[in-house]
Amino acid sequence: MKPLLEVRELTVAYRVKGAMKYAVKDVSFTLNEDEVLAIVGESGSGKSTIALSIVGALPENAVVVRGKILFRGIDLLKLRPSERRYINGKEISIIFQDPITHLNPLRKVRLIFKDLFEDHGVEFNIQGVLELLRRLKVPDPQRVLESYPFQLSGGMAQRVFIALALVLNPKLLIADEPTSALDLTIQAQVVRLLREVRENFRVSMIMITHDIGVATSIADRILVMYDGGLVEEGSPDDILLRPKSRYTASLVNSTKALYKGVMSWTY
Amino acid sequence: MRKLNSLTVCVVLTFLLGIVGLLADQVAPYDPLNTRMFRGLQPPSNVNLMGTDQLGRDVFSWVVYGIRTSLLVGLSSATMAVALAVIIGLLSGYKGGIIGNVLMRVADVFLSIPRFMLIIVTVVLLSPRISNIILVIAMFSWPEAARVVRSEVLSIKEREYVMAAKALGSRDLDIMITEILPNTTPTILSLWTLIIAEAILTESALGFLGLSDFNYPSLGVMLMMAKNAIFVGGWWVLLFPSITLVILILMFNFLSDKLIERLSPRLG
Repeated sequence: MKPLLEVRELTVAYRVKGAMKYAVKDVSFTLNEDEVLAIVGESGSGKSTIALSIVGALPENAVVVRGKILFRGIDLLKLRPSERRYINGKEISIIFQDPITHLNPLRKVRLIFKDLFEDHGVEFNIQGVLELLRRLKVPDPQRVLESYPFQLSGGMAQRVFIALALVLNPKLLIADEPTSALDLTIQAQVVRLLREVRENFRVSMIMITHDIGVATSIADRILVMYDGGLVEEGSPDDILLRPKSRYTASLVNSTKALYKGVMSWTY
Repeated sequence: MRKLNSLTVCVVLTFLLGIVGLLADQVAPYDPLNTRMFRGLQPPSNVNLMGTDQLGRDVFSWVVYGIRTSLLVGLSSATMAVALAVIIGLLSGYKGGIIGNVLMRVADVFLSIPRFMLIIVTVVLLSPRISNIILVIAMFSWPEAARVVRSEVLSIKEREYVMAAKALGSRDLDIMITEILPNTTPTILSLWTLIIAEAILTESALGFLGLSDFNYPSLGVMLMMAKNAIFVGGWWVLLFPSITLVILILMFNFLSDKLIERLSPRLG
């Protein structure tokens, strides 16, 4: 298998009141083509920072101290913003935790799609968008395109956002806690949808979540992060049944306790 | 009875005054510049609705033309100032960096010098033609507005949809124009009306000091006449122009307040 994305010794810090707070410390991992990788960890473990460094949308006070992010052999961190924006949205896409706040409230969904096409110099193909929305099980896509983001329900907005991320056929889709802001039934739908996405679209995925259940139900491989560092890497079975580190074991155990020992995830 | 909506009242008043200003030629019974030697300081009557000043000029006609001048100066200088402020505020707020900082320091310099004195000096240097008055007022009004726009941009650019647009490969210029600019509209509109009010006041103050375009009767000029007329009982020379001025300024201030209340989703 060919590696699509290689992250090498990535170290990212935030400047907070003059001091440097390290959010990601020496993290290295590889993502192969057509693979789904999940990064699990508690809040503040640095998993979202990794996602944002890959798409180049880190907040202004963040500094990439060292490391490389190689996408098909090109170091994304060395690209100028003008070069990088051709990769973002077209080759690498991202979906977020709260889709509604990540869409401009003053633009209709159709215009948001149109902007994306124009940003990448692709001719706006409204039939393609409608078709994609239908494939993502959006009911009445015509109406959705003429709605404003705040008129959509959370689940619908997440589907629209997934469509936005997939419409230019990216090679890599990063999902940054895509289910955390949704309620449980919609969560299950979105996870099922993402599983279908990985089967139907030739796209690799990095799934960032704090929910081990979501991670094991969708990923080929799981990375466990704690306090900015990589704790463990393994297949879902390894992580669930044969955790090597104590942190992973306690993470799994706490989820187990939550689900009262249910090990067959219902997603 | 239905409670009157103050925004509606303001808008209706603005339109009325706007029509008066536009149709000043038709509305005014006399040429405001026409002086009549033996009809000075006449009290209000059927012939002169608001009386006449010391030079026999019809105060009503003067007020009507004064509204036109006020609106002309207010609208055009505020529009110029806001346009400049939006460009500078967007650039320095979103891009920051050296250019942004330099622009803001320039604004600081403008803000730290007494504005009105500078305006007087510049108008005197350039000669008080209407176009110069408009330009100078615009030139000294943008810094405040630019600061406000900038602070709004600074807050909007941290919003998640801006970050998402960036993550999906939007160009900076597109982010500024399609993501940030539309979301500052409430602020910009409210600033615009506020600056109109300020510009009207400044124009009148210039007129009061004798710096006005002869072809554009200024409410301030009539107030200057009133300064002397009031001592010989000519209250009408003071009363009518000042009421007009107060209404004009108050209206635009209200409009500014009500607009931001109505348009801002956070307050609505």
